Amino acid sequence: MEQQAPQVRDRRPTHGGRAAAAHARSRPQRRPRRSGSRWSAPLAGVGLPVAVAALVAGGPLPAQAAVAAGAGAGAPSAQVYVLQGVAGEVVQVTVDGRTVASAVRSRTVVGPLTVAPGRHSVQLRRGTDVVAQAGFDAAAGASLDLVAHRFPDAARAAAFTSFTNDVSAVAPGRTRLRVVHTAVVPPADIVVNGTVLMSNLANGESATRVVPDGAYQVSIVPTASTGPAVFGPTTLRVGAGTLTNVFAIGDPAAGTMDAIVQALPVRTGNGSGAPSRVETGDGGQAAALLARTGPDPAMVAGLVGAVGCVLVLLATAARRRGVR
Amino acid sequence: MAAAAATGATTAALAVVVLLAGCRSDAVGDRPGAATAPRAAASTAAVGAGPSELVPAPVRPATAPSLVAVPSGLPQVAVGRDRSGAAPFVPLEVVLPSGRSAPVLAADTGADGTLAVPPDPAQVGWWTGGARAGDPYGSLVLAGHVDSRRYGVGVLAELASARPGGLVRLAAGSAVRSYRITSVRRVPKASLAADGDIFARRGPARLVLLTCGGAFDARTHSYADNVVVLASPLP
Repeated sequence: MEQQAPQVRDRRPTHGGRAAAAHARSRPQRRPRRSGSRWSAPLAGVGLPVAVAALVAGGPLPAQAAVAAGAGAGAPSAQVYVLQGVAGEVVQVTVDGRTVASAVRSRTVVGPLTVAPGRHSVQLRRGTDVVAQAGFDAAAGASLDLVAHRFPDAARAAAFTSFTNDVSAVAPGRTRLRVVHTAVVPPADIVVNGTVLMSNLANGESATRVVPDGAYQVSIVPTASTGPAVFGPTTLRVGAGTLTNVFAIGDPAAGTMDAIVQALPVRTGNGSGAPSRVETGDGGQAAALLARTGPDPAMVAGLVGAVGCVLVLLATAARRRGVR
Repeated sequence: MAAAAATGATTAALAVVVLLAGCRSDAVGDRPGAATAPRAAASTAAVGAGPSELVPAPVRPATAPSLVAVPSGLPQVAVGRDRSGAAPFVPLEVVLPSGRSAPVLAADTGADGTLAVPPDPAQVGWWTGGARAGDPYGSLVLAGHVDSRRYGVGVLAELASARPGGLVRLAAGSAVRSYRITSVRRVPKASLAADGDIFARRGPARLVLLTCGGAFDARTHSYADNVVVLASPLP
């Protein structure tokens, strides 16, 4: 997973998290400038293509303008991932009626798709059959996961649930871990390294924790029970500077329990390294105060212990010297 | 043309990702060829289904360029519910066992490795490399002056007489978390960094309160030790 992160970063140059969101917020202020002085200067020198771009930017189609103008300058578009969490199905993924991937097996992440802000639709199809479909709203600058999955109610058809990715900065050496329940099991606890890290997650629910990078033993256990686990224990490795989404999918009764692990890069926030020294007193008044009130029992105990240790060490050293 | 180049690079990067995922001998998934292979069976009742290690999901590049919003008339997608609970927070105030409180300011590690705690001993520093209140793992470190030549005795002077069982509260606005003191000890300053638990990123969540203590050298204006108070979060 550690190796994957930089590649993912290369793949997604416009995935700017807060920067993109800030960008999006600044859009209304930027638009008038674009149709004014910013565009009028190149208009004179460069000619028709820029004139067309300026017309589009100032025209009645703000969504298209955002995509066209944003291609080089960081678009306030949204990044969408479609996650195939329907075990046993091999599907075609369409967005806004256009096929974006074919022969997609379960546990696969399709994307990122760059979409203009606004309303879109997503479909999973098997030939002409619709496996799951939904409309969705893409907010400017957002990163959105659309996961198709089944439900604990076996009679219910597969459907999509959306989860917005929090791609804000995470402290150095840490990862934002989100576990999502999209499996055919009742509410469950997420047990990590032997303790419950997230409790009572039902289908369609997720929980997020910021954890240090490294390997974890993860299992999914029905809520408020000590087992048996419906999934795991299994090893999950998380890399620093990522949002790591783990979608539990499948049906233990059908032997299809699995997880979709998706690691998205996030910026590394502030946070300094471990200090080597902590200098927290240069007056001596506290020592004087302690001296006046007398040594406290803990210090006396510590002192007795230390003296005892020294005596034992001295005795041991003396014995060694004697042997030689 | 730049966009086309970027797409090419993207596809290449994706291919590498998929290949890396495919190289893992323990990878189990719905990749071609693996779809019909039997999954390692659970041998005991306590072990659930699934692979022994989770590997990143195969990623498929999307073949469409930028998509413009089109109304479809389909019902809106269900929005996943967040059950993360109370958000972790950077403490802005600490309430000590005596009931005295102090404001908490961010403290970075300087270039010389010394933690830059607030000069005013009525204030306490939060090490920016540590955990926040409510994070599940690692040390949340607060440090403050026991005293100062300029300001006098500090608020953390009471740590020298702290006892296991004492309560410490951290707050930021309406967010509050309480901790119970589990140990109070003195560590020679030079061996503070070697003490594995104090600045640990991993391991259980704990609060570490640091100040100075032990013998005071009036010539160097320095204490010999650090007082180290460990506390565990209360549910």
